[in-house]
Amino acid sequence: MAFFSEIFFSTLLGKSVYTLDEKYFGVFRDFIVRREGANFVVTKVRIRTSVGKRMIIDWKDLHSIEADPITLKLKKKSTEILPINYDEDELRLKRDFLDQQIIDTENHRVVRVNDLKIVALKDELFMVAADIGVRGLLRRLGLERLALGVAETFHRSFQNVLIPSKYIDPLPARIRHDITLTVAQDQLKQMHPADLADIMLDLDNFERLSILQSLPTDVMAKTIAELDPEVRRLLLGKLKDETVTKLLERLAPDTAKGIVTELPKRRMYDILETMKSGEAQEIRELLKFKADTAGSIMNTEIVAFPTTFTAGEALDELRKKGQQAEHIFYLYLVDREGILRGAISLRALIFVDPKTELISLVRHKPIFVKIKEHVDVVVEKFTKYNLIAIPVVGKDRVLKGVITVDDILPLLRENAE
Amino acid sequence: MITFFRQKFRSILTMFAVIGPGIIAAAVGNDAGGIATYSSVGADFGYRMLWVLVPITILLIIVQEMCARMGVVSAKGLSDLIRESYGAKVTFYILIGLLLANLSTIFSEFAGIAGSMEIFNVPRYISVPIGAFLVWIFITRGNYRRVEKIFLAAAVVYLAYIISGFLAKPDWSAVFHSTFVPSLDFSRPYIMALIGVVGTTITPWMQFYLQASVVEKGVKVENYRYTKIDIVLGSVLSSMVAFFIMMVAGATLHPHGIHIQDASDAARALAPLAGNSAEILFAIGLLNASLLGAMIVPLATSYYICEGLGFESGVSKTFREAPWFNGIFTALIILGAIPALFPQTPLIKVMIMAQVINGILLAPILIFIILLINKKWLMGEHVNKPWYNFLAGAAVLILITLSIILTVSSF
Repeated sequence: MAFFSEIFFSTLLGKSVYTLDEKYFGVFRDFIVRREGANFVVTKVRIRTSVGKRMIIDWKDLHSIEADPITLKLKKKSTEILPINYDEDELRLKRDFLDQQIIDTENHRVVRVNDLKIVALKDELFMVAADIGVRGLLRRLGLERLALGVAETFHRSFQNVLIPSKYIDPLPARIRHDITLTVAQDQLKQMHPADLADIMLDLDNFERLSILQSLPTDVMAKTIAELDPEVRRLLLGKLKDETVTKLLERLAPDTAKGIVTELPKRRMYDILETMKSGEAQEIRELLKFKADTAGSIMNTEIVAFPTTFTAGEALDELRKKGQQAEHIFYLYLVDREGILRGAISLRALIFVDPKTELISLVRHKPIFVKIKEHVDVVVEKFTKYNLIAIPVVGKDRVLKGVITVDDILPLLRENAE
Repeated sequence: MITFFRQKFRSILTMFAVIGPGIIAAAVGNDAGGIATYSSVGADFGYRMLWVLVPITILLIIVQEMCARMGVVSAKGLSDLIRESYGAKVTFYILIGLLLANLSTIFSEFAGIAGSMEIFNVPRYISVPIGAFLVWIFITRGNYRRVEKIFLAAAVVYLAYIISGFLAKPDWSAVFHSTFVPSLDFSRPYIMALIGVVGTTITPWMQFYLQASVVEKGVKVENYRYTKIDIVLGSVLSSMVAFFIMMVAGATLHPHGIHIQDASDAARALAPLAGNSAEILFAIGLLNASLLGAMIVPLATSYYICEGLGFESGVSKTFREAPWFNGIFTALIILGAIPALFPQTPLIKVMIMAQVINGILLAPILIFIILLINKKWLMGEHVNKPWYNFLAGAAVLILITLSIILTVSSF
């Protein structure tokens, strides 16, 4: 096969296709590709025949692509060419990439594709990069040469802005009404929920939903928690109650509570009703606290040990139960009545003899906030004592929960603004 | 019974939550160019052009309904959809057209600022730069949403025209006759005025703006019927205001043979209501409309261009982060303001020219709207019904015919 080494996809569009016996067959319309690892490999070719019929032929039927003028040549005579279909998991370059928005998974953003770079390697064609630059746009307008000329007279280089195909995930623009089709958004699943939430900002609701639903439940829940509240409101409005319930169960109670309170009152109660009773109970407890109090932002999943425990026992216990807690920065010691007696750092625990009694590790009186304290006081204590977590106590200093630094970060930012 | 009322109550609540884009678009649509066009058409032709508002209202409802439906179903803006379906080249030229038409609209907004402030004896080389600077600050500081609401609330000034309409004691039977019996005239001024009226009522940028607002509002498909009410209400409201401006000008200025040269001529139409303070009332209304338009049109234009061509956009982004976005609206404000500075510029005439350019660009935009809304993969079950296509098609044909007549008659 005779192919160029690299070419831009847009320059092929609408170019003539000839059969082996040099007869005009039709015009080139599209490449069908399949994702293979980092690249998209061309599997089929879409042609509009001279009688106006759309036909898909196997990539192997293509003989060559001539450079000057750009034409495509087939291996067979027109009578021998058989039309085929393409599979559901295959994508079309023109329909699904060119002029569409894609996700740049490296820079966590949504960009519009101006052109696609095609490379020939060992008798196969690959789509290796998306062109999102101004030069690509000018090429589409037929102004690339002019622009290059202008750039040259000013001794400036004018580069293409390319995104390598391994960082490309397509958005399902054309399949909006066929949601069962899942698109190869493999890259997305490996992204951090906070980055996913960033991308969501740039998308429309349909795309947001289709991406969310392709994620594992855990990641989906965390992404929802990270979303901009306005976007979250729109999305939760579209999700079924059962889905929302499932998601909230995956989140820490304080996060879940924050989200549940954004819902309309009636829906909030409906969802709490259907949640697992344990988690729902914890959220209900949190809901009792007035907004802007320590209780309203605390997490009730805490790691607390009896004062009588030894360091070894505590470590064993941690390995068993530590999974449940959101963060383990400090271990809290409580007596039989649940009253907070002290706090020790995880660090202190690790470096002592396993037989040491926990209570002997306590250096000073525990720092804590009362459950009804205003969040401003919480923030103040955090900054004053340089804490990463602070225990919250109720009446008689009974330990009720813990506020970690990530709970107050948004408040700090608000104050700064 | 109680549940029935509760349901009713809840659906009313939903309605208020969904309502907005249509009515807001209507209020924004009656901008400086609108006031100028309606007033001068009234002054030149009396009641003879009133009938046009009836078919225009229907047209406006049809077009806006289609855009809103596309916004609700696809959750994408109009320039996005054009780009994704028709490619870079088509989108680019459409956007260039939109850019030029909007630049002329922006210019007419600044002409409005100049004209209204001249009534207060503020020369235009002071009012226009200050106005441009204010607009730019509103946009870049990112609080334009709040400012927008204030301007929209101030749009109540338009009510003055309705009251003035009654106080002018027009010949009501003549008004009704002209409203429902079309009077055709194929002279060039008449056709130009006609296209101007169409162009100011159904602007291309308005369709982009409306669709974007619907998308931003996140209206659900099942609540779409409320958006329809919103659009009908908005369209009728905007036509009512246009009707009264035209009628008042027809009743007060036309009999005296006054042709509108500048804003103070147009202000005289409010004399039946405000007497000597007519000019002040008019100036406030015009200034408000102009500032609102001068803020929204450059910003909206910049958004649609960046959306369609794939440039970074957003009011909170810096010049470095979004150079095209910031560059385009800044350039539009500056370029739109400059011509308004020169005392020789015939403000009202240029405003009307801007509407004519918009009227001509409207036809291709409408063709794309109709093509897009008939795409099954995009709209699903919400594609146009055949009779609706017939109506919309007829509307486009009329617009194209009008533009052709105008172009031919200018030779």
